[in-house]
Amino acid sequence: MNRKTKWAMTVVSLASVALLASCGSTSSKKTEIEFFTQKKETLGITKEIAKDFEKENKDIKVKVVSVPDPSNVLKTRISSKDTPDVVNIYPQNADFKEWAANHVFEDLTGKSFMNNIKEGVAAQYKINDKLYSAPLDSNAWGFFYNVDAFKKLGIEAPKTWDEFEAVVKDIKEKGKDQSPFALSLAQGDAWSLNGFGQLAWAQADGGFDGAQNALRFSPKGAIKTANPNFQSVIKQLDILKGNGQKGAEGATYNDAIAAFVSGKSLILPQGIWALAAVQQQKPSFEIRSFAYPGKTSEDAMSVGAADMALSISSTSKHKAAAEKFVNYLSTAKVFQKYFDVNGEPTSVKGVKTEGKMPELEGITRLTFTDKQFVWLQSKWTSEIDFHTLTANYARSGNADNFSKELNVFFDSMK
Amino acid sequence: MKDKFISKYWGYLFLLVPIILQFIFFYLPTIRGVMFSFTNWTGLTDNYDYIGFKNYTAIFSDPKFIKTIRFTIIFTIGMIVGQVSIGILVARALNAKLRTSNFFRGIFFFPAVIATVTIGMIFKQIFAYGIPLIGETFHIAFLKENLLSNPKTVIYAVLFVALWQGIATPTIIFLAGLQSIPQEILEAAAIDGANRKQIFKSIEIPFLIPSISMVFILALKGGLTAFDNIFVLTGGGPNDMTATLGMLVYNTAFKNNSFGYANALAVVLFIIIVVISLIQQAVSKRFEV
Repeated sequence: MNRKTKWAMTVVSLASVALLASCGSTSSKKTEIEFFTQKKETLGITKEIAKDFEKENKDIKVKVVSVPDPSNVLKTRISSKDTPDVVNIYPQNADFKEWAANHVFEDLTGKSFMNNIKEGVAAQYKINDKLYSAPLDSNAWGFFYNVDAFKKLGIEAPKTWDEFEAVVKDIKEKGKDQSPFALSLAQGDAWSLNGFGQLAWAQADGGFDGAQNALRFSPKGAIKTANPNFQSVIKQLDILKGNGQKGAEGATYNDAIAAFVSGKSLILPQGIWALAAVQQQKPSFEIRSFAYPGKTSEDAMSVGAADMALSISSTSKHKAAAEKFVNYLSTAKVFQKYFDVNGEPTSVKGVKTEGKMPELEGITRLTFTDKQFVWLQSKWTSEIDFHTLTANYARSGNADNFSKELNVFFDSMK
Repeated sequence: MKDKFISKYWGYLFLLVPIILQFIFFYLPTIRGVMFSFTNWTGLTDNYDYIGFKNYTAIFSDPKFIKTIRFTIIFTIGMIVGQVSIGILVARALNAKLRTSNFFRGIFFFPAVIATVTIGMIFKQIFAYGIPLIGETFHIAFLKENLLSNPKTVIYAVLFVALWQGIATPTIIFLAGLQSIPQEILEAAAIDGANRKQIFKSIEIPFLIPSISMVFILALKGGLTAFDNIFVLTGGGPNDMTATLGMLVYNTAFKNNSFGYANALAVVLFIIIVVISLIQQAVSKRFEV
């Protein structure tokens, strides 16, 4: 290498360093906030909204973060004092309640953006009389069905439990190689029956409080096979037994969606969040939904809770920017964009929802009414065994084992 | 004096970095883990109280612990027996002087270089769709359903997948062991008229004791701490039949928010491994050549 080349290389290196430094100094003028979202199915629209926000707020950059297994990632980040500035976190869960009570999140009581949310919705998630979460929409649980196949078989969506049993019977008798339900009973995806299990208990015990009293707040060992409410629960769960697609016992969430989309199974028991996954596979039939039926058509119920709910870290260095972003996202104009993609019932005032998501209306007509209760696990220390035991019963039909293991699970909380 | 000291001990400087790293990333978390096993820490906040041996006494009346320890023991025994017996069998076959030996050595080692999670996902699909199709085609009743969701077959299915990958490394260890047997001993045995069975029993096995000992410890550790493979294949189901101690620790910590109790479970698991390893080492030393 001659002297000239050495000089040239030195100049180029110095110029590169200067260029990088100048890039750094430009971006350092911007405040960067992190938005940690657990909703990977709406990541695209969330990023779009973040870009729109940056255009209106040139001094703020929003880094949208979505990772696999977000709840565990969040746990480890919060325990190592690395709470993201804005977090999409479910305020009904036990972990959120403990974090909020320990001031991991900012108190949002009285913040102007809380006025963008419908009356009483945020108050459901109060902790020590303070609001730590801005719930912008809600999920719900029910049944999707294949409208075209139903028409072919001459059946209609059931409004009562008796009609539901008749529909299942008709599909079994008249359906050509079709099963009534698309199920995912593999233990790893047992959560997908959480709604069914909770609604069965709510129907048996007259709602949320009744179900909590029977499960969580009853004396130790009180869940007995002979109890009338337990008998009612297993009668409801029995509708699933042997009525899933081929291989349902080991099927995953994705397998169940595939069975429904392929037309092999006509009813998909799932949360409304599954619609995006179903539609991604472009089903060749019309989809509609119905809520969990009760004794009469008035007794239909749903279960759900806040989904896109936002909290702000109490240790954030950019609280003002974080609040500005939450305020922006909770305005009707901006959240309309999110709703148009996501379709979950929203609590943001002024968002036009009517007729926009006909697929979900059979279930979401109950959201924000007294017919939809908050997930029962909001008062439990853990939920995983409840899913597993419900799926185990649906698979094995062993009632004594079901009641025994439910006692083991709930007795540890009593 | 000073120069002498430096020239004598300067080599230890090189050890300092790995020792510090080992301390920070291994010993310190272990010590903290043991400490947390005596607390009621939820893992969510910094709040916890020392509760003495409560977590440890609760373990032995926990039906989940009893259920998982039962499966973990069965799985570990299956792993040890399978890895040692199949490993030796395959290693002996690969030790034969064939033109294709190198090719087959590569083939048998191949599963070891695939990520366990990937193998789990592939076999999950094979069990869900592939095997039932074979059952349907050839009218084999028990293959018609997913072997992973049948309580009667799930343990064998899980063990099969674990061994499919797990025998690769033991095979290489046994192969190295077989190749380290001095040729003159084998020749002397042949001259004395020893048959293949006698050579295997009286020469190969004694020479393979150190390898068996190593494979035993690896399989033991792999069996007792099994997690990723089973987590992907069955998620512990059906009915917690394939839940291992490792999975119980994970679920207790991350799903039930009971980090104190999960740490106590992990400490018990650690003690079990240490005790069995010490016994195994003492026993195998008696048989070494």
